[in-house]
Formats: sequence, C-alpha cells, structure tokens
Amino acid sequence: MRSFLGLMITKGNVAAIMAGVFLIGFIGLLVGVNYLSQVKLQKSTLDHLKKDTEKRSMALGYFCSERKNDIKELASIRAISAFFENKALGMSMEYGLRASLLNISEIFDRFSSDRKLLGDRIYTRIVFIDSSGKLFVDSKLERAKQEHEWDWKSFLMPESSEVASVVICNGRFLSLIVSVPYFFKTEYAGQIMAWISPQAVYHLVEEAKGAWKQSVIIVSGEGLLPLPADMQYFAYLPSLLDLIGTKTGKIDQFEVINEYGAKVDILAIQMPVKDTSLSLVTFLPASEVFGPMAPWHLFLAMGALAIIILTGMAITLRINTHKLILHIRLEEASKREQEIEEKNRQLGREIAIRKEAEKALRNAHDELEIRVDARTKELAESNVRLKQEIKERKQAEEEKEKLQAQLIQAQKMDAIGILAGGVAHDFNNILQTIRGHNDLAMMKVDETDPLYRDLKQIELSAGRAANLTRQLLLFSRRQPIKFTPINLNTTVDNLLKMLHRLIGEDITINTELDPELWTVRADAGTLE
Amino acid sequence: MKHGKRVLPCIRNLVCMIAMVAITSVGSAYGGADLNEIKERGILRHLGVPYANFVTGSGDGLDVELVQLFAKHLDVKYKYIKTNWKNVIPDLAGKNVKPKGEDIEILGIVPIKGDIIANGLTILPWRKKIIDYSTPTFATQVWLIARADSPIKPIKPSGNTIKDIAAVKALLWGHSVLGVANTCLDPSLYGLKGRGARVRLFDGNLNELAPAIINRDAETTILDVPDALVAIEKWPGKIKVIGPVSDMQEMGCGFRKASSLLRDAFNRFFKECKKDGTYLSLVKKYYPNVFKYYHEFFK
Repeated sequence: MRSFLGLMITKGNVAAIMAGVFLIGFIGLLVGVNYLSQVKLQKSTLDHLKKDTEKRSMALGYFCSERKNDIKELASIRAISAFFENKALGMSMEYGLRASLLNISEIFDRFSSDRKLLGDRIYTRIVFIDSSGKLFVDSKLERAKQEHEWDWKSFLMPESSEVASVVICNGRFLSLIVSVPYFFKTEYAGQIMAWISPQAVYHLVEEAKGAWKQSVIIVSGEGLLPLPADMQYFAYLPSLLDLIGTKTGKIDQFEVINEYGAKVDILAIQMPVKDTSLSLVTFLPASEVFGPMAPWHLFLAMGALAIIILTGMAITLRINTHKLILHIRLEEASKREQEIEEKNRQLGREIAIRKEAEKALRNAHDELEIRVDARTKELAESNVRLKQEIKERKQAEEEKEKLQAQLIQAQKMDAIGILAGGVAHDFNNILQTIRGHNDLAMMKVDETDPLYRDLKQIELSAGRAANLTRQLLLFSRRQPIKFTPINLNTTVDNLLKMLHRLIGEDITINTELDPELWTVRADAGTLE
Repeated sequence: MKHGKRVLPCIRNLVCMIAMVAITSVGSAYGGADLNEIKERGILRHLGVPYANFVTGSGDGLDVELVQLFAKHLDVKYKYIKTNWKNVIPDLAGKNVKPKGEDIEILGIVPIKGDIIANGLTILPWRKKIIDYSTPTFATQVWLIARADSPIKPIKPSGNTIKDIAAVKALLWGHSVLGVANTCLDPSLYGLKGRGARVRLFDGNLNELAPAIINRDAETTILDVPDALVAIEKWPGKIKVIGPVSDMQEMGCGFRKASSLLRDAFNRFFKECKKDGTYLSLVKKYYPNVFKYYHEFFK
C-alpha cells in the first residue's frame, strides 16, 4: 500500500500541478491587461468616431453656408434687376421683357453647371418665382425633370431679408433647398431657390472615409436626405431612423435586424449641422469598434481555460493511478493468461478432432444425399412408366368394350339376317305357289278378258315380291346376286305403274328419263 | 389733274425698270463673278458693315464666321471687305441705287467690291429688285425703342401683330424717331412719317442708334430684334421697347443677280450647316437670347 502511495505522489505530478497553477495565473494576468487596454481602446475609438462625426458635421455646415453665399451671389446678378427695371418701364413679355427672363435663365444654367463639388453638380434646379408665386425661370437638370410640382406660394418669404437654408420634408425624404428673397428697390419681388444635390452632399460627408465601415446619413426630424444611387442602402435604415433619439453628440447602441434577418448591434451618433435644422448621423456595426468579442468575454474565456486546465490535471492524476493498478493486475493477468493458453491449446486439439468427426459426418451425409437423389430419380422414372402403362391399359379396355359392342351388334344383325332369310325363304315359297297358280289362271283366261289384266298385275306384283324376297335372301346371304342386262328407263316405268296405284291420285311423280341411256348389267331386284 | 398725277409715277417706274434691266446686263458683263470665277481667283470677298453681333467689327461675328466657313467649304481664301450701309448694295451689285418704296432707281454704275453680303441683311422688297437672297438665315422684326424717361408707354400686346403695329404708330404723333436711310431701319419703309412722327436720319452706325437716343439725339429709334435685345441687355433701365413697327421679317445673305451658282452653293452649304448643328451653335454663341426668342425659326 505504501509503495502504491509513493508511486502516486511522484515528482512529475507535483511539477505538473505547479505548472498548471502558474499557467492559470499568467493567463489571468494577460487577460486582465488585455481587458484594460481593450476598454481604453474602445473609449478612444468612440471618441474618435465622435470627433469624426463632428468634423463631417462642420464640413456640412460650412458647405451650407457656402450655398447661402451662392444664392446671395445669384440674387445680386444684374440680369435680375435689369428684368425688374424693364418690367417697371412697362415692357411686355412679347416685346423685350421675355429676353430678360431668358437672360436670367441662361445665367442660372451657367451657374448650375459651374458649381461642382468632387465632379458632382451641386445644384439640380434653380428657380425664380415672382411675388405672386408664379414660376418665372426654371433651370433644372434632365434628371430632375420628373420632380413633382411644388406649391410655389409656400416658398415665398417676403418678411425675411436673410438667406435661409430650408429643409422640406416630402414624406420621409428631404429636399435640401437654399432660398433667398429678392427685393427690387426695397420691395419684395420674388424668391430665388436652388435645390442642392443630395449626391454632392453625401459625397462631401463621405469623402474622408475612416478605417471603419461606418455610414453617414443626413436627417431632419424623421426625414432622410435621399441616398445617392452609388451608396449602400441598408434594409434596417428606416428602423434606425425611428430609433435615433433627440440627444445629439451621444453615442447610442441599437439592436436592429439586418437584411439576412439576423440581429445586429449598431452604434450611432447624431450631430447637428450648424445654422440648419439638419443632423448628421454616423452609424456602424458595434463589432467594428468592439471587435467580435466583448472584454468580459475574455474573463469568461479565462475561467473556462482554468477549469479546463484543472480538469486536465485531475484527469492526468486519475490516469496515473489507474495505470498503477493496471500494472499489478497485469502480472496476475499474465499468469492467468498462460493457464488459459494451455487450456486453449487443449481446447484447440478437441476442436480439431471434433472438426474431423464433423467432416466425416458431413461426407456421409453428402453421400446419403446423393443416394437419395439417385433413388428418387429412379422412382420418378418408374412412376412415369407406370402411368404410361395404366394409360395404355385404359385405352385397350376401351377398345375391347367397343369391339364387344360391335360384336353384339353384328350378332344382332346376323340374327336379324337369319330371321329375315328364314321369313324370306318361306315367303318366297308362298310366292312361288301364288305365281304358279296365277300362271295357271292366266293360261285359262283370254288376254282380252278384263281379268287377264288383273292376273297380269298379280304376276308383276308377285314378281316384285319375289325380287324383294330375293333381296332379303341376298341380305341374309341366302340368294346370289343375278346380273342381267337391264334398261333402267323400263325398270323405272314399271316401278312407276305400281307406285301410282300405291300412292293414289293426290301425288304426282315426275320423271326425267334419258332415252339414249345405255343398257347396264345389274341385279333388277336390287335396283328396284 | 389727278389722273396725270397717277400716270407720272407709273411712267417713272417703267423707265426705272427698263434702265435697271439694261444696266444690270451691262453690270454683269462689267464686273460680276460667279462661283467658277471665285474658285479661279481663290478668294471669296465678304462685304460687311459692323452691325450688332452679325459683324462686330472686331474680326468676328455670326455672319463673319458663317462666310469664313463657306469660303473654307469652297476651298478659297476669305477676305473681309469693310463697307457701309449706303454702299453695301452698290458694292455687291455694281450699281448705285436709290430705293423708292418697293422699287428702285438706278443712279449709275460703280465698281464691284465683293461677292457676298452677310451682316444681318433684312430681306426687303426693294433690295430683291437689285440682289438675290439666300434662304433665310435669321428671323427678326423692327421694334420701336424709346428712352426710359419718354412719356411713350409700351403697348399691351393684343396677340395680333397688325394691331400691335397700329397701336405703336398711333403713339408716335409729334415724337422724334431716329433711323438710318437705305437700311432696314429706314423709317420710310414703315410709314412712320405719315403718322406724324418727326423722322431724323442718323449718319452713324446702326449699333450707335440706342446710345444716340440715350444721349437725347432723339426720343425714339427703330431697331431690329437682334440689335434691340443686345441693347436691352447693355442698357437695362435706360431704354424701353414700345412695340413692333413691322411684321416678322427674315434676314439672309445677298448675292449678285448674276451669281446664281454661288448662291446655290451657299444654300446647299447653309442647309448642311443647319443639319449638322454648326449654324445653331453659331447662333447660340452670338445671339443666345434670340435663339430662345425665335426658337421655332431655328428648329
């Protein structure tokens, strides 16, 4: 047991524990220092962001004041006063005065095309409206042609003598207009207004891009100066506009939903633009400033790391203990293994014997199977033969029965023949007697006597009856067939005479006899 | 007696016309040059009178550039021949003429100095008797201009030019009008004298008419639209446009009657210039307001 504990508390284990504790301490120190520097860096970044926004706001303020100077300059051009001077002289638009307006329009066009910032035109439209709100001069870019019509009277500012930067909210989108009242000989004569291109404004405030992916928008109240086509429009911009507070110069953090439906933390700072109602808002993803991980996350990570290291050490100690126990058990296991090996060998031998027996048994079984198959085949063949014999015997039986029936029929016919022959023989004898007596009677009667014809008829009928009996005797093989030359037409005529008497007057028998018919050799009785 | 008065002008006109035809044919033979001769000579002579922005007198102007381009088109050299309103027609036609209403009286033969007149030359009936015009190059009208402090007040347009002209002329009774004889600004062309105006003829250049009335040489003057628009722009508040004294007019380049080939060549060249935008860009350069004023004409 002592040796067992001694093994457990080794120098290696102690060193490992010490190293682990030192490592945790060192990482903790690093994380602390890093946390402090991160907090400092974030503060500095936010200050920088604020200053950057202030700088842009100042630039925009300066830009707006420059535009006021522009409009003042426009108001001082000679062409406008010349127009009013000519108008005051009573000149009509048709004869001369319209030229003055065209002149002003020309100057507005030139002014608009000359004023550029970073290659963009600053003004998209310059108009001059008279004191009644009638549009006199309208100089606008092609792209601004589709702009909706304004209520010009609402722009008139006869009371103001100062240049005013006016912001007009059209729904949620702003139009940035710089406007100046025009006085001719101290009397309010109209208003000059110039639309400032949002593109030029955004390019001005976007010019100094920092290292971050910040975006800048210009707002007034809830209205937004429309973003130019080359700027990215964030899907969450409308919700951001709703979230932006009234506090200026303070960095706010919002949670918005981006175009992919994910929640994004946004930092935003709003800065007012001097002498205008505009505000400049800079916003950027919080991850740009804070990084993907917040400082407190490092502490969390440190704790997790310490737990991992301690767990690792505990696992190592546990593994070492298990290793020792395993070593002891290993020796015991070795002995047991030898015994098992011996038993295994014996078992192997038994298995071999059993395998041999199994093999022999399998062979015998196979042989038996072969024999059974052969016998089964023989039996099947003999079965087929037996079936054939039974079939043949059945056919012979049927044949025999058929022959017996035929024999019985033949015997019956033979009996009938014998009977008919007997009857015919006796009848023939009687006929011979009748014929003899008839012949005698005929010899006694004159041929002219009417009785003679009757006797003659008896002779003929007796002759036919003799023929009939001869046929019966023929049928019964008692009368030989007597072939004599016969005229078939005569035979038919003779027969018809007898038939006419037999069938009566109601039935007529028609014959078609060939007179050229040759004589044939035949038995007359058989023919009749 | 009345009948005799009617017959006499007719006979006089007939004699003038016969004389004109006779002298025209002589004149043509005398010094006229058509296209082939100009090409042989290698020089196109441009007769010009400094007038508004057509011929500024400083070597440029709408018509100067147009004729320079035409010379280049003909592959000949351009030469500017300075003249004045009195001699510009004789210098081209080779005849000294005097307008008489819509007719002319030929006074004699003079040397031919140029081949083409181009300086905002208004197409007038009497001029067409002695020279040929190109296709119209410019639209115009003659307006009555008054000094700012004149009691004559600008008319209110009626929408009908004839009525407007009558309204303007009705205002002229007893007022002085400054004009230039033998030009399109000759008051006699518009019958101003007959309306009781005190007509004064000016010896100076047409460009000097507006300054002249500002200097109180007369109370009013007549100017054609291109010149009037330049004057309004130059002296705003010092002059005022009262209204029209003529119907719409057209300007064109003048050619000798015998230079029909040259005139045809110019017409073809001018058509191309209009088609490719060259001419419109020249008009925009020298008369941006007129271009917009008579936009339909320049379309």
